[in-house]
Amino acid sequence: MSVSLALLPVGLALRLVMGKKNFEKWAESLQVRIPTLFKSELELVQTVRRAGYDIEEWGGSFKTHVEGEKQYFFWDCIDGKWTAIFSKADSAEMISKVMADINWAAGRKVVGPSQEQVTGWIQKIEGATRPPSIFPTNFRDGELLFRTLKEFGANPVRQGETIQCKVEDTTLIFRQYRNAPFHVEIQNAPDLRKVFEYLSDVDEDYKRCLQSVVYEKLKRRAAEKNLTVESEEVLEDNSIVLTLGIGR
Amino acid sequence: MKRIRVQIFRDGTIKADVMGIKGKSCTDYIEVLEQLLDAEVIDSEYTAEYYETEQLDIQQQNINRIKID
Repeated sequence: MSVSLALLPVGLALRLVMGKKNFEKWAESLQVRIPTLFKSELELVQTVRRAGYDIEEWGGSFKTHVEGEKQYFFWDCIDGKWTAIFSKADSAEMISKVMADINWAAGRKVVGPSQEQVTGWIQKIEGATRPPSIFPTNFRDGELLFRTLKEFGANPVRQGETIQCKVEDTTLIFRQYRNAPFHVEIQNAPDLRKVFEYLSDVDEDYKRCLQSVVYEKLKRRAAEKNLTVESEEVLEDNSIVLTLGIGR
Repeated sequence: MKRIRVQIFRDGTIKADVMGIKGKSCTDYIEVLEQLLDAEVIDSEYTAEYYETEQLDIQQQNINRIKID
């Protein structure tokens, strides 16, 4: 063997753990979102770099590290606004410092919270009596998400860049900026846990569909690259293994 | 035998092993696999065979250099 690779299909993000038993972990993924006044992606990238931080494309979003590799946050375009996405576990001091650095680099106030405001937002999230309504997902392929929801009988409807469906009395609105992972807005959910279980089922089925899509694509394209399918098998863990011969 | 073993997991993630290709040329297949699978490489690991071959290449270069000198 010469090289071993781990790959992630472009239709998938692995930013959160779902599954029926993982409601708490999903809730942990609650975010502190700080919208900015950046007018374009270019302005965002240039300003962040000028502020002394990195900014790199990562799974359809942008990722910025803070003090080394272990601490980082994301940039997503939500409802047309570039938004800094911190984890609720991040300290208010750290968030404030990053924002101050970025305002300094921009030469104007592109993002406005004082430390008190940031602390207030975090406290609001931590002590919220009403659960927040927008959550991250692993879905990146709109076609596949639409198909999966349709197979679930959710009667999805496209409205521009969004996909909307109704599950009992709850409305789910999936939104995506470019090829970043979708966020889902949950409206009118009497029991968020039930909605989470539903979304976990959709997540599982989406991945199963993706496995099938990748398999079919690989078989179709292999011949074009002068690769021969020598064998294929399904293993006990339901993974599919294909062995391709090169150059024969 | 030059082969690529592709394992597509139930959660959509993929593992690919390029086997039997000597030296750096095995890395040519990284881009090929990304195109074939519409996927991005998130981790890679070179195996002993890759480094052994590299070692031979370096030795050969040294021999060539001595001959020229």
